[in-house]
Amino acid sequence: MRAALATRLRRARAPLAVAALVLAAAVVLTVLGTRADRGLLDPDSADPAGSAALAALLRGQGVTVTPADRPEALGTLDAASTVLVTVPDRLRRADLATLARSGARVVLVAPGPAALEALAPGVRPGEAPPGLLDTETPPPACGIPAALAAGPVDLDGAVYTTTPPAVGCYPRGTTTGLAVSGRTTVVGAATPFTNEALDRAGNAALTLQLLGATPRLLWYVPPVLPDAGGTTPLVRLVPPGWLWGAVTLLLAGVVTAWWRGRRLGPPVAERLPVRVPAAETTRGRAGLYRRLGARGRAADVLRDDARRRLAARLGLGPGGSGDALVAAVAGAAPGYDPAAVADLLHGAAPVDDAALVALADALDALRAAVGTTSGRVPAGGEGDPG
Amino acid sequence: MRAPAVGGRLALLTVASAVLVGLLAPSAVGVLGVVAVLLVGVGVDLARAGSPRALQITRAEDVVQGRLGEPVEVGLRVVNGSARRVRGVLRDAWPPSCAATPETSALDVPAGEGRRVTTTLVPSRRGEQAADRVTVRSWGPWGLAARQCSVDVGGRVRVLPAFASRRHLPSRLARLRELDGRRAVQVRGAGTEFDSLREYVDGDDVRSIDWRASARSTATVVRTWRPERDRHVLIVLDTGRTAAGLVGSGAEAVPRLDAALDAALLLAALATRGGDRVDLLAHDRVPRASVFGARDPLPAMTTAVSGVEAALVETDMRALTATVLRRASRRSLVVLLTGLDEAVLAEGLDPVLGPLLHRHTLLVAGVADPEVAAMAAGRGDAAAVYDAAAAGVALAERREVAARLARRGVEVVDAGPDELAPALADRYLALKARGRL
Repeated sequence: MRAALATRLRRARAPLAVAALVLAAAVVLTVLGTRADRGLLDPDSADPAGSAALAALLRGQGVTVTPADRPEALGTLDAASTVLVTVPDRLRRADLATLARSGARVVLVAPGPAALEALAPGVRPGEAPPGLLDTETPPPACGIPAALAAGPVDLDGAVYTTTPPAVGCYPRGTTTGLAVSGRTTVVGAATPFTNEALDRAGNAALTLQLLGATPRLLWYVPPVLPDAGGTTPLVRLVPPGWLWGAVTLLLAGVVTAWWRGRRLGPPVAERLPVRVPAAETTRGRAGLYRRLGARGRAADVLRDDARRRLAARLGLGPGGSGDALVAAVAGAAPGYDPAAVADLLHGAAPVDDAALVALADALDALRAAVGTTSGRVPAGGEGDPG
Repeated sequence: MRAPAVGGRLALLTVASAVLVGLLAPSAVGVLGVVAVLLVGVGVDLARAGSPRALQITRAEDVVQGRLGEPVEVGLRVVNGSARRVRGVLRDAWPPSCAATPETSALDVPAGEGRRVTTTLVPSRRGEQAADRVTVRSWGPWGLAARQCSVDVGGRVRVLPAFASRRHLPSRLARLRELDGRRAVQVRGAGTEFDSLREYVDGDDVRSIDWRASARSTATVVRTWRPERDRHVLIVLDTGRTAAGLVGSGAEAVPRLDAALDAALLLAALATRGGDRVDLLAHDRVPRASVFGARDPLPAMTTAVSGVEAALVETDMRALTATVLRRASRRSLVVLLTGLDEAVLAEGLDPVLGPLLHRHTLLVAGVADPEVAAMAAGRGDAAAVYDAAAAGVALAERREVAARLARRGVEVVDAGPDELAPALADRYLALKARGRL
């Protein structure tokens, strides 16, 4: 048994190792991934990447800051409010449309093409020119009042190209780190909003102006939700270069199935003999008695059996009359009077199942009473046991 | 040629090549390229694998004999007649109830050499089981692919009944020797055949004193008696419908037939030692097995009954009786092992009892069901009491059948599967002591 187990373990070694590797990789990626994302731009988080400081400053200025993470919150927006969307790429098409209709000021942090197209016409993702150090904090070089007041800020993330009427600030080559199109402001990096960087350069000035311009601020952290606009086919989810790799992987699946599926010889059939529990008919009869509520019949059988055993115990012949047996039993069993014994052995059928169960127990008790005393009561000569 | 088998290595290689395709050549050409390389690898490996067809596989023994529940080894001789080494696995396939271990054995036969492969069977069913095919999978040197073929090399295992009641044999043999007079105890009535004369010792029955011999001698002489010998015992197994029923509950449940077999074997062993001739007949509608006039009946019977299974037919008592009357010419003790279950038996046996009892002593042994006895003691709730009532009816019917048979002068033994063998042996000894054989 143990040897068989060891053999199995040895055989399963390679698959187990692969499974363990995959599991470990998944765990590591998940842990690292959540750590990197945790508290990023969270208005309640005091982590370096959180934004509790900014939210506190805004509240100090009399702005009502409402954190939200459900898309329903977007429906409450009006022209007197500002919404900060921390992860615009998680917005669904319906959310984008709601935002565009709301008339609120919108601040997007590092949005992708979909959000730009819906909310910031004239702004498109750009490619950062090489050779520029990310740590450099360029001057605003534009006419946006908030930027002008703030001066240089930490904009080290995505860059955008703008076409009028959209305006770009903080230029890097032909691209800009901040863009304004209508009531939408696109900020290329989350850095200025974070606790860690708020006190550097003009970060605080810029963000306070962007978010504190209206009395109400909705701080929206979009949840990860499936897009309502239909499902994406599986093939689209495969990174483009790996489609052929995936085809080969499919092939590997087929080979694995072949490897595991090929038997070492056909299974062996065996003709088995018929095996039926012999007590099945008896059980069937018991079921019928029960279904029909045949209490009278059941009581008769139990009484017959008790009478037979008592007669044998007291040495009476099986053909003895009922009265003789009752008298003998009453004499042999202390505490039983003849009427009670007669009722037990020859009484009426029980009225319900509970009475039947009680009768069975009473008959057992009677037999036990006779059994314990019959040794000293020579009721009918020497008792024949059993 | 049959489809080859492929190895886990090929699957791993294919996975690796998927990474390769993804990184280096993400195109249809890349996929076809790795597929071609893998196919060539498989082809070369297959070509270099030793041919399993070139192996000459033979059974060490054509028929192996074992007892139920005890391990029995079966051997295979594998000779590699080809010029290439065969490396792989071999499976000696047996029916599931044989529980063959190991399921597969590693095989490594260099060219021109032979190997012996042993498989251990622990059969859980009586009777003769035929081996299925032997399958050999021969791997290529790289372990990518293997050639595989199955051959039928025959081979059977004969599983004899467990004969669990063997443990009752020594005590019954001791009782038999007491009857036999080989021990000092001499009890008058222990037999009816005159054996010899010897001097009277204290404790001898005075009625056995031979006065005529004592008169001729100076000492008092007693006759000694010994039980009859060279009597004929015919054991008849009813293999009909009732014998198929499982008696007992749960894992210990055995078919009635197996309990009857066990009792029959103990009786045969005992009677043989008692100097009686023992024959056996298994019968339902037709005779299923018979052992008549064997010089060493026990092994012959064990083998004969090993393959007997209960048939789902009503036993033809008339045909059974006819066979018994034809085969047993002398006055015999006919032991009928059956279900004793229903009035059916009494109805089937009643018409034929006359001729049987006229010529022979009849002993009917029934296998009782402990499950029914347990049901009869059920109390506590309505379901249990209804069970008890139904069991009471069944037991009363059984008692009625037994009583009717007893009134006709038939000896009846009615016991559960575990107690039947010793009970039957005891009844045989009692009959022998009373000289009723």
